[in-house]
Amino acid sequence: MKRRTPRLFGMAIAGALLIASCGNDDEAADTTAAPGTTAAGGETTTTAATTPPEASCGVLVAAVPEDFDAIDPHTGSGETPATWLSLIYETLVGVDQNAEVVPGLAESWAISDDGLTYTFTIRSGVTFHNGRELTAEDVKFNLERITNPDTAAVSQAVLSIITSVEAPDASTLVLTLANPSGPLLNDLAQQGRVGIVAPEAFDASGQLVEQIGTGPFVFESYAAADRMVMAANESYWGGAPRLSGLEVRIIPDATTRLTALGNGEIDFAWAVPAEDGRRLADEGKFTMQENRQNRGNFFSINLNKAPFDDPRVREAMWLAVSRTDIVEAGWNGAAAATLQPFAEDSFWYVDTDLPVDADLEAARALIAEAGAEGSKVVLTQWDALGSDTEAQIVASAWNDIGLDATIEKVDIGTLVTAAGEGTFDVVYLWVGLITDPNRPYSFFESTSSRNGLTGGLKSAEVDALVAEGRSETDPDARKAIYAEVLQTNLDTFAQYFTVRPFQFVGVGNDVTGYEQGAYYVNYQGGGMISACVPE
Amino acid sequence: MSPVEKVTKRAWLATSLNVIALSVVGLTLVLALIGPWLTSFDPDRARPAERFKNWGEDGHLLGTDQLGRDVLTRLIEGARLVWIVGLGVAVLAVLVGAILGVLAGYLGGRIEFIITRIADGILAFPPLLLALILAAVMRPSTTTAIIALSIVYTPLVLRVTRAAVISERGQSYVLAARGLGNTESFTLMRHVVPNVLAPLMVVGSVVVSRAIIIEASLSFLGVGTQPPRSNWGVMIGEARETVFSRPSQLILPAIVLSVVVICINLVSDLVSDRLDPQKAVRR
Repeated sequence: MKRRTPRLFGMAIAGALLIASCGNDDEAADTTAAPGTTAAGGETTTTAATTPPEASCGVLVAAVPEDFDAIDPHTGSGETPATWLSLIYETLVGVDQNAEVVPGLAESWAISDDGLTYTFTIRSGVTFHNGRELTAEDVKFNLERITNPDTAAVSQAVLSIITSVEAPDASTLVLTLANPSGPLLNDLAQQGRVGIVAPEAFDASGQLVEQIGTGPFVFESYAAADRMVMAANESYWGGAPRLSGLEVRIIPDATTRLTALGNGEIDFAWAVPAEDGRRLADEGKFTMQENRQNRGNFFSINLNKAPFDDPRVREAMWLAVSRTDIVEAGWNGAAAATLQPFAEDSFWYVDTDLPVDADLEAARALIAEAGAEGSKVVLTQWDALGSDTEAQIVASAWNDIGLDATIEKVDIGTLVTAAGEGTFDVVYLWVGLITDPNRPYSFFESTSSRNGLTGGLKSAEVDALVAEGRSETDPDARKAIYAEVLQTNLDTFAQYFTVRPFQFVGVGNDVTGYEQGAYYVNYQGGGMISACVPE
Repeated sequence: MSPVEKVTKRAWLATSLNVIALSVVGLTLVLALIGPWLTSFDPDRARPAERFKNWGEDGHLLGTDQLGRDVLTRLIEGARLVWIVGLGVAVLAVLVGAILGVLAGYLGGRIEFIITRIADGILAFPPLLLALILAAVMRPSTTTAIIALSIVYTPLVLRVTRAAVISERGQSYVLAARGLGNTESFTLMRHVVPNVLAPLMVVGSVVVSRAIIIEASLSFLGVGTQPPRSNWGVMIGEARETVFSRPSQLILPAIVLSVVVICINLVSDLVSDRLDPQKAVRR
């Protein structure tokens, strides 16, 4: 018993000491970090990039919060496989630093005038990690596996538009579509979700039993909830990476990741909390890079359940929430108010009126008018979502207008089931890693398994719009269609976006040549491929 | 310093520590009872506009947290929860554990075998781990934590009670009572149970302090009391997000929790000093 008491107390003391030591380090960090900083930002890096100092780079140790939910570039649905499996498996179509589509394993492609036939030319000289050369037949095998519903691939639904895959010769791949598709190339570039695996890596039952890709890093080992180790692929077609290897450690706690990065135990941290991260970065312990991406936090209010089936109640719930409060108190200022999952400078961002402050009087009046005073509201949140401050701010705001709101945390399976079955009151979640509007807006389709996340909005009109947006190939016309879907959502007060929290990665002082891509740690010719840490 | 002085000094130190411990425990009890009437702030309601107020600013004696809630109010509210949890678990565990322990000890045989084996099974787990599993399986809440901790600590009470009953059972006065023709239940209630009460008080007071700290740990880990309800464990957990930039948010509840638990331990030592027959003889 008494042993446990000092432990908690010790934690407080340790915390205090840590802070004190950070303070003492200030001056030392300023002087020692200065040369390092110039090396990282200035001409030294450019010279280093043109003449890579071979064999002088060591193993980079990165830390991520979530474990791999699958080591399979087709079925892994979490954030970690999506970002890190791209180092082992590449996609037919690649992305650049801004997540824009560029040639990948296909060095070029041609689209027929009717938009139904895509002819890809497979890059020559690409070999799998077992030394065998990549052929169009291999890509065909992968696309057929992904579109087979039995695989339960993440991209099965979006790629089901492909009606046939042909490989007339070793370097030509022809895809035929049911309808023209705006997002197809983007869907084929989803790193970690449509990666190309050597067919010999699967056993007879179609399970992935070996890790054989074409990427810049070769899989070495993986221990669940601990780490994945990769080695550099010396025969990578784009030139061997500078690092000799890479280790991805799973460290769920943000403060632990920060501390480990600050004391040099790790070289790279995914998902660094803004305020504490900024503070340590200002002390020169590491640098922070923004992980720019289209993303948004949202609340879905169940349209089909009393009292939320009354539009006045939903409008009141929207009006009660102050985005300013969420930005300041929920995210310490490191977020932008938004009504849609797109960054303001994204092509897909639609200009709308953006209310940032609450209108409690109007909200109270609406609740009174609807006779919903005292109604119970259970706000369901994913338990792994780290912070619940945003949910608390919103729940308090709803209590202020006369509702009786409580927060409930559940695992993601329970949450998705509740959303699918429409048994929830309000769900709080985020959607990220969006490179094409088809993904978030297809949630509005009444047949979508994610329909609950839009509050269960079922409308033939919206279904038609979303389908139209998917088959339209002109970006401007697509954007106009999605603007209509967004407007319908705003008019029905269903899926309620609040803020886009800024995402950061922490990069250790020893690391040179790393530039964060839009969401990805790896993109054509950059990211982890050009990064280096001393041995 | 002469040996006598030494002893006096030690006794004085022990006494003053006990006085401090008793006053701290008394203070938290009083605050738990009258807390809501001491402050005009709502402990749970977020007021983002008033976040991170300094000590003493705008009537917030210990400032406000990241959601603009008064820290002192939350600490006092946390004291209420501490007593609800501590006493709740102790009462449940002692009631159930004592009944089963008396049954097992007095009846013996197969019933004793079954009861003690189950208790041994539960005791094989580290308390925090078992509480964590139970709390995670059920829907996380304060009530869940109380139930889980009661299950964890019932075997402890059970074993102590059973041991006491067994030692009383063979005493000649019990045999005499039975020999006089008293019924089993009368003998049990009149002669055995009163003699088991002292060890029960001692083990009960130990359960209180253990339950408090494990409940705080559960809440810190997110499977005990749920935010926004104020609980010291929840407060420490929430402050973790800004541990580098706002350390006082974490240190304050951590210190309060440590001090209160240490004081409850001292008081429970005091209780055992007073009630433990063996120690009483030595004294």
